[in-house]
Amino acid sequence: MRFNRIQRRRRWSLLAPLVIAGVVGACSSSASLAPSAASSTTSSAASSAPVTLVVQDGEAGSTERIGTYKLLDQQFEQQHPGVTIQHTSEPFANLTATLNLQLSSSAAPDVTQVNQGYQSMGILVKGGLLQPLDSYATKYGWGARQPPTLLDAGKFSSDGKQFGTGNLYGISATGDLVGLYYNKATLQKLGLELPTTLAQFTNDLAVAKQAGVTPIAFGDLDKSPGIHDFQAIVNALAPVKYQNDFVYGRGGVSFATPEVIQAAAMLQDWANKGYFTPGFLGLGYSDWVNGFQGGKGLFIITGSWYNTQLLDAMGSNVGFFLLPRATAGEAPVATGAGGLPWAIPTRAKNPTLAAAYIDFITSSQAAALFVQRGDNPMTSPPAGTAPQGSSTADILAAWAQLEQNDNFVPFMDWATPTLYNTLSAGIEELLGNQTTPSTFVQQGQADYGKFVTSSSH
Amino acid sequence: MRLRFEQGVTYTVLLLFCAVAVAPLLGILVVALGGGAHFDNFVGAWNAGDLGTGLRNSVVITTTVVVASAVLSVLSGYALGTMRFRGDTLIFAVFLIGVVMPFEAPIVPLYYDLRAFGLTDSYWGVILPDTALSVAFGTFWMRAFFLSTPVSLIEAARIDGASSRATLQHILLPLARPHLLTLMVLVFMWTWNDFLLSLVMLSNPSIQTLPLKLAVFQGRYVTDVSSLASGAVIVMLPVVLVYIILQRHFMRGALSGALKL
Amino acid sequence: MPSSLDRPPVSPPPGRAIRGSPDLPPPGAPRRIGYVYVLPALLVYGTFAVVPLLHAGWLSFFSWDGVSAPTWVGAENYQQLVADPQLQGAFLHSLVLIVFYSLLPVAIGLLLAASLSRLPIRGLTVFRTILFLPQVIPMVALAVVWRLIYAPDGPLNQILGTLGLGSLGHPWLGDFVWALPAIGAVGTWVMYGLAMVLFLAGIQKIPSSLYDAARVDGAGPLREFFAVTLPGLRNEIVVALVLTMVAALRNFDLVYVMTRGGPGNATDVPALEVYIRAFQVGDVGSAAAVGTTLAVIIFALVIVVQRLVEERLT
Repeated sequence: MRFNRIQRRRRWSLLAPLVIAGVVGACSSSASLAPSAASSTTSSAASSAPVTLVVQDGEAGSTERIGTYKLLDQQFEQQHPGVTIQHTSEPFANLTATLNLQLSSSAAPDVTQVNQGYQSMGILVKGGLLQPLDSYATKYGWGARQPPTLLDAGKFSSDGKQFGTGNLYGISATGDLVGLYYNKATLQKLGLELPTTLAQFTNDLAVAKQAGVTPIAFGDLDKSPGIHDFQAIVNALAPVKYQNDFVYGRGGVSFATPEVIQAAAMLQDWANKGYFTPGFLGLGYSDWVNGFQGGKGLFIITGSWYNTQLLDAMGSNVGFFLLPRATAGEAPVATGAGGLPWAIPTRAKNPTLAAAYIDFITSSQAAALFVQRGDNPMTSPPAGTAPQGSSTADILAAWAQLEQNDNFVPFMDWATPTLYNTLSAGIEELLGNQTTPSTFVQQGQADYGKFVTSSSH
Repeated sequence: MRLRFEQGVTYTVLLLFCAVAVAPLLGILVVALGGGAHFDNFVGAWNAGDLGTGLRNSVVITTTVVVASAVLSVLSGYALGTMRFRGDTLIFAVFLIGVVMPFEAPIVPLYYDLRAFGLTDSYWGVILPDTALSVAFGTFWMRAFFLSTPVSLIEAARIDGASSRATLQHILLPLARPHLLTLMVLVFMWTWNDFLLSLVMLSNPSIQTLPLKLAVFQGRYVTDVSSLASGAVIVMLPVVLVYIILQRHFMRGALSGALKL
Repeated sequence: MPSSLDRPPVSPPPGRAIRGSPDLPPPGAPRRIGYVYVLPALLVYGTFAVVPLLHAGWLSFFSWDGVSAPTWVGAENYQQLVADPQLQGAFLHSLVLIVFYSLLPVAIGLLLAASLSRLPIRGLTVFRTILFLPQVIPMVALAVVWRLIYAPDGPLNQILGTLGLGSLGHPWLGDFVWALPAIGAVGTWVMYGLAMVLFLAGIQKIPSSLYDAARVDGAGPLREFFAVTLPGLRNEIVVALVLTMVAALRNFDLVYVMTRGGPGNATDVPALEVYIRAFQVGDVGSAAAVGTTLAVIIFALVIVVQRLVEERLT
């Protein structure tokens, strides 16, 4: 799953600068091509005449997830006699490369995954190549099914210029969440309990260090893990509205806020106090993740995409929680996002059936299957799907808590195309004491400010 | 006495540097074997890293590039080495650029251009550019051979009424065989070892090459040290075997200063 | 091959061939059939190497994200390239790598050449085969191997510990000072075999009479080396320098697999910047500018090194 994570990063950073509204080029809009979803009933789900539903995902290589989709396909076929699903998997790059052409041709699939953001979904919406799903959302009650903040990532104004508002064009079936895993036996041995404030958490780190236990298993030779540790602290310190505004480029916010500087200073402090695995800048995944699995380390800060692996290796000894806020009593804020949203092309031959398919794969029944297969669904599965006390149950509980408080924050490095590189390098300099928190934050702001200025016209 | 001493120094230096050259490679083999002669790690790496798929793709891509560039290079080298026509020196100069051309510059437009034609994420996305660069060197290499063949040979064939094609096919090509084999060995090595082009062009796991599979395998957090080492050994093995069998040809290439890296 | 273009000769008297006549002049004389033989190679090479190279130069004058319409920005990408400290760092790192990839291996190779006796070496083939081995292995595999060696708990630190030198240990690839030399050392390890093999062959082509003459003149081993061996290896040195320097400048595989340019930007190199800019960040114009600059530097270097060494040694 980590490879997917890399692909995800790549997809966001390469192709979806979120804030460029006007830049999108010569894609002549042909609004006449976009009939309202409700009126296009070329085929009906109720009819049992043989129908082939063409489904296309953009996750070639994510073998396990595609396996889940194939199982869901079978269940859907059983529920809809006469329907045969023809399912193809494209590599992610193809989604952005050829989707525009494919969706304007007669070879358009009935359902396809689409990449979020202006340069992918925005272009397709502008060209009238996707159907608005709002009438289906009302019919099936999708709005109540998933966290509203995350649902916004599938919305666009019908001219494709405004992201996050307007019509619904896509809805995700799976999602990612970043938090902390912990070694239950070690926590108990140290006489500690799960922290409820950030200060308690830092205290736990000190206690672990004192007892000769690596507080946080961490290695950054692969350069991406550091961002998660840094953002987890930002999540705990900064206001949730600020964090969302920052990524979506709203309200003229800056990276250089006291909370962000404080987060950078805290990360550096942890490194200097020896709270990370020794030699962490030279440690690759095989060293630190395996180390944590083997009992070296109390905590590990990473995403839900690691859950299956950690569960396999550690069983009931691993748990998951969200880094608590600095202020006692505040509900935790965490980084989470939906996967590639599912959409219905305007030229789909079976739009109604396609909507039924999307409804099915985002249902709580499908969510249960995703959970059973170690994946993280956007929709909450029925209670009791995950074994009591497992890290999977912890993740689902954390997800529900975030949803309840609307405390999801998108991945910070989505804010600009270059921010991932700027931050990942800057964080290493911070951790290696090559820079100061304020310089680090200034560099981040230089990147952010340049992008926001260049795209606001 | 002095000679014996000098010889001693020579062998000591040679042995020392040979030891340094192989030590890391033997080390990785030991790690891969996990301290015994069992091959579980190899099987594990083979399955977990999907290296079988990588091997198949590498074989398909490399074979095509080797054959295609050998054929094209023989033809162009023959023309530039034995015939004169308007613009021949210019054409040769253009080919020479490719001998030292770094791929880092053309790869940027190549990706976007090939993508427009739907050739990325297909074998062709790697085969065509790899053949192009190999042909540049191949032309240079085969021209040198054809230049070195006695003019009288070609003249005699011509007087006997042989066409240019027959001259190439029946007279020069048999002579060119060792030279051509060296070229093919070098192209094999470059294509097999390529990473950047495959990384850029092949995002679909089902057509990724062996070195790319290894890089992906390393990037996965589940991978432990001994299966990573096994993966590395599996990726090295084919090219090392070919090298040992055909080392004369590798060396000939190297000694002619032919190894562009 | 269309036979109409390839007629057998009808033995005309040389020099009397009329333009356009089917009569064939002797070999080496103009033959238009040559175009037919060159064309396929030229077509493939032109389309997939030369045109993209020129296209890269053209793209470097645009601001383009790879999706929407490109905008002409003139030399802006190059101006930014000169002003960007990260890119300056990347090119600077290439210079450091040249020391490790090129100068050190050539020095090691010459050391070997200097210590060689004039007697034939037994088992030369075996030595050559072993020395040259790292050259033929995919860089990705070598990167994986060396990443393991450099790991904080890896063999290198373990060996240092056993020797009682544990204090010299580092998390090599995560150390801001040591990461670049650590990558460079892999380059040295790969390249010295090439230099040695080249010089081993070269030295055997130097006539023994030259050495005899030097000894008669009373030259010691040092003078003998500078007066005979070094000039005699001129061509081999040029080849070794060019090949290894180009490899140093093009370094991508090692850095990508071992450090991704980290820690911080301590091992960032131009080729990695091309990749990141073109395929991760979506700043295609800038990537093309970096790539074009790299290509120009490499072409210039090849020419300069050849000239320089030829002048020095002749």
